[in-house]
Amino acid sequence: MNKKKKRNLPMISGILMISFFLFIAVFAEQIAPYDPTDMMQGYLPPSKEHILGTNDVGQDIFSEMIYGTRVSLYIGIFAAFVVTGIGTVMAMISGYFGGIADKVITAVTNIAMAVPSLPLTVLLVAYLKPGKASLIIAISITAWTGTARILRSRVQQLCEMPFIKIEKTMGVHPFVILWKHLLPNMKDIIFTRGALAVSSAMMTESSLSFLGLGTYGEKSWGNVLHYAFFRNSIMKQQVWWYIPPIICISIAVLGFMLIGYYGQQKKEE
Amino acid sequence: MHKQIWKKIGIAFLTIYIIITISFILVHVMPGDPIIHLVGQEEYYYLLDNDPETLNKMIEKYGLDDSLSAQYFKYLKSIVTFDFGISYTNQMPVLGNVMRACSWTLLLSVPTWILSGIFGAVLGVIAGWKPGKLFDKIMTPIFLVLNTIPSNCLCLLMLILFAYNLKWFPINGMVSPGKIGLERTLSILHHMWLPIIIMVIFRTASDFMLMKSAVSQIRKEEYILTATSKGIPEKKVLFRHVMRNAMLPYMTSFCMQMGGLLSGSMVVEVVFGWKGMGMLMYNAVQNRDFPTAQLCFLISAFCVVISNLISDMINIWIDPRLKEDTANE
Amino acid sequence: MKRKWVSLLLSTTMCMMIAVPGTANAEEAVKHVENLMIGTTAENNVFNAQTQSDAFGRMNYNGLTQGNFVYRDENNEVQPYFFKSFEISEDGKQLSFTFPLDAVWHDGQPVTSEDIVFTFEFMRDVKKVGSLQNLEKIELTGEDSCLLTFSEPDAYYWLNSSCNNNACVFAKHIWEGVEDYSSVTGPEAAIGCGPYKLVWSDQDSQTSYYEAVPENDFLGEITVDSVTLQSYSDESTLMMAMMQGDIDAMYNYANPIDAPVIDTVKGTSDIDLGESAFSGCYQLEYGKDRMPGSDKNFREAASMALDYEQLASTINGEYGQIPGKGIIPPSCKGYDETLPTLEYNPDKAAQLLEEAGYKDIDGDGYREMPDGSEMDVSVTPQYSSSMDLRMRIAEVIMKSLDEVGIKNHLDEESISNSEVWEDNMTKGNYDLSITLTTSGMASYSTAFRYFMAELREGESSWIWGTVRDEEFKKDYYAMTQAVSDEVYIENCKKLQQYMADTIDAQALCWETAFFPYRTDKYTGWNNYPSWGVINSTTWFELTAK
Repeated sequence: MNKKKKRNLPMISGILMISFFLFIAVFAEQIAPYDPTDMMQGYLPPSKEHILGTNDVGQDIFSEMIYGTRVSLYIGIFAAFVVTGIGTVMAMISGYFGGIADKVITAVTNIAMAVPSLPLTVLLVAYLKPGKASLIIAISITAWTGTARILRSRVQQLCEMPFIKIEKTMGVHPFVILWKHLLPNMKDIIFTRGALAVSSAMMTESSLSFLGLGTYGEKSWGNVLHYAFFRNSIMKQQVWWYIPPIICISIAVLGFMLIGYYGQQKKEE
Repeated sequence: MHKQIWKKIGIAFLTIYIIITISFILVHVMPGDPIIHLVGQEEYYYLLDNDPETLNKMIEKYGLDDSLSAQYFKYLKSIVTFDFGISYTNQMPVLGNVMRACSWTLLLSVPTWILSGIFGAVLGVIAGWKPGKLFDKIMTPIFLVLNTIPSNCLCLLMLILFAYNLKWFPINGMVSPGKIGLERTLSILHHMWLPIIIMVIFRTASDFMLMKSAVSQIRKEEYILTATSKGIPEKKVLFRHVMRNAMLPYMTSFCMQMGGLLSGSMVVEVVFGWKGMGMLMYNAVQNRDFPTAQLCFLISAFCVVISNLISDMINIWIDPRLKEDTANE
Repeated sequence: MKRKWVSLLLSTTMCMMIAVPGTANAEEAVKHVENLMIGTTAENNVFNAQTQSDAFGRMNYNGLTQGNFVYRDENNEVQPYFFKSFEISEDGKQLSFTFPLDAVWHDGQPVTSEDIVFTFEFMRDVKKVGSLQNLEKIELTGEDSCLLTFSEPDAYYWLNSSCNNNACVFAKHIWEGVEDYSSVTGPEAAIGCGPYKLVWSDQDSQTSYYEAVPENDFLGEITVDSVTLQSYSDESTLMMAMMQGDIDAMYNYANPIDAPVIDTVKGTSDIDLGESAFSGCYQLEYGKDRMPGSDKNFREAASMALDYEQLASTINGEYGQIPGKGIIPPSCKGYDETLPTLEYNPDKAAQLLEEAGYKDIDGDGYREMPDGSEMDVSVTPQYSSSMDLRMRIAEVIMKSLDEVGIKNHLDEESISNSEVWEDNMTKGNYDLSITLTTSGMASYSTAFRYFMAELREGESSWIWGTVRDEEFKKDYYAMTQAVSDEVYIENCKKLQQYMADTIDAQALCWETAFFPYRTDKYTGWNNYPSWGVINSTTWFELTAK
């Protein structure tokens, strides 16, 4: 009893962290004291009116952070959907059908794994039309490989199971087998891979925003940090400006990682 | 066994060829006329109106008006002959620029790779051997949290603390001006500290997780349990059985990390103004310096492919099961 | 590395040998500056006298290694540098000048009249310098004098525009027959006949080192014996280095230190902030090729809707000023002080829009065009490799427009791709465009250069404007080709009046520039407005305390 409780603790705290941020993202309008685009006096230190002060153009940093939750989570979760989706489809096709399909997909995976990801992402973001969509494409383009590899071996494993073998010989349509039997059996591992994908997508987003390649106009956490750095908050010791985005990014990433990491472990036991 | 190695080498070459092709396509389908960057905006418009002949000559010189297939073969030929062209930004041969940047990046990434390989292995074995004990309880959360801080954030925090506030390390750059000989070496070391510490922290965190899970998995396997139940001393079991078996997956991933030696430090380089591969690539993309961006990309990918090949070979060499498989073939 | 060291040793000893007789005399008069450390944010990679890129090229605006013909003094007047004297004929078609006979190239060869003739031919025929396209004849009229004859009254125009374009003597023995001049990378590419020669450079530490060449004493005795140029990756590291005493002064072409950075430098002992009124400015241009930019009522309302206080604090912190309607700041030659300043009055802006027919018909909170069609104006900041400040300016403008019910969006394609931006600008495919006039442009060509949709024949760069008025064009060229200050000022005022009347474009903020420098070691700093203490006279005026 006691042992089980202990084991779940990290995962529960992860879920709590993410629920907290999801709550903020959903109710951003109600929580934020100001519209984050409203401009007041710039460079104010924290006060009653502005919990985290104001930035260089007089926007309330606390409100920016609240609304930033939305953009950052959106990009992270959406990119993770794409990554896990592609990875799962690839894995199911190659793992189930084998043969040429498997060879081709394995080759593509190997090549995609050999491409240095951040340089390629930087290259893509610089050339694509800026916006959330291209950011998500750029983040996902090489990130699906790990998921595909792990799921492929899982599919192969499942295919050796008697019930799948029987269905195969019975001539059940492959789509039905894949959809009805393989997918439900993999939902845990897909879920954990998905959670890990969110955390790595959020990390990439923060790096890209920092390099000035993130979303324009939309305030993500990475974007707030970017302006804090390039508008000189560090030399001016404006802790209230550069620390909050760092903390938020780290906690959100940690939350998803805890879910992914410990969710997986629970399954293994 | 030979057969398998040759096959792996063949696949590696094929991968490299495909990546070369991808990089060609990538650069040539991207929007933007490179000739503008070659001659500069003002000059370009001036020439366009007054001296289109000169402009055409330049387009010809850089082979920008050939058909795509002709450009492709030209490109392949230039790669085989190591002629990567002239950088648009400083008019020097790209290869020289990239090699110089490579050496600066390796200066950071090789020590990082080795140091964190050792730290991660040692700490991981200790934590994995006795999971749930104090050491594991302290180290695992620490490394887990470190793993979650985006590298740019940690870079900033360290920069603020150690360079701006405590002034222990220089804020930026690779070497102080006007230093010669030993003094120069020391100056480089002084500048290297902070970026290396940050990179080692990150690498160690992931290496630690890897080693820990490898060790704790092997610990549970039957032969280990039998060995301990037979009364073989714990240390002996650890070193003779557990370590040996855990080293295999660890070495494989350690070798694969070699692939990231050139491309893995972009953010750190940008924050610290370290003029290595990441910075070069970043600037090349910003300035539309196609030849440089392309070569950076190629070399980074080449590095990944080769390191994967090496780790495959080591695997075949170390793992007795794989050896037997091939022997039976 | 070793080679660098050896060459350094050799050149130091050589220099000392040359300098010994000179310094013996000089010590009685002035104390020389041994080594002046200058910081910059441009890189130390390219060392080619023909280009203006990188730290080397930038420093040559100040005649560091090159014998620039003329320079602009602190009052913005053109003064001879390599030239000993010059004169422009009354019709503006002829320029006569004299040159020194004792100047030397850095490889030891003397500068001859052949070099001078070659230089003009090279600039006209190979480099295709726009302002020299009408140069007809280059005649040597004496041992040390020369006469240039233009087919159009371009002499004044060329001389003035040459101050900011590397117009200097080029060595015939180096550049003759070279077509692809910007790809010359050998040490010969850095050779010039300026007061300093490049001795060594180190890409890894981003440093270059220069030593005085006493023969090339264009403005008198060279009092700074050597110069070290150190690059930093950004302004804050540059300022940290200055606060720690690593560098004495900074040069960054027309880019003063950002206001947020200057706040941290303020109050440091031994540092003068090098404050001056900046002659460049950020400006907003209305795209007149389509609605709503083509409607004067809209422009008037929009210019009243902008929150100038907020713009000023965004662009220049507490030092920013609300600009006047004539666009160019008071520090520019020909500034018209009679014109009023811009006014922020959102209520009146809304009222103007209402009267002009921009009404919210469908009730979505945003106004429609007078013909009832949807209005959504695009805001296009000028592309640059660092977009941070420009994006912030755009943000303020967009917010202001939003407040008065003008729907707007950021032109996202232009901000990530310089070609797309250039193309949109050239085709007039924009509603509101944010551009920057640097102090270099402001010193002669002025902001008005950016607003023209058509240039005179033979010029085709930077056609970013949408003003298609012949009157405006005529006044502009009358200004740039003016043969005297009076004519220049008269036409400059006409242009300001034109902009104040039509509101085709407007300034966003008038700035204070900061080019800090250390005051503990040297004296004789001369802080040029908009340029700072590093300029063409520094080499001859700065002395040790």
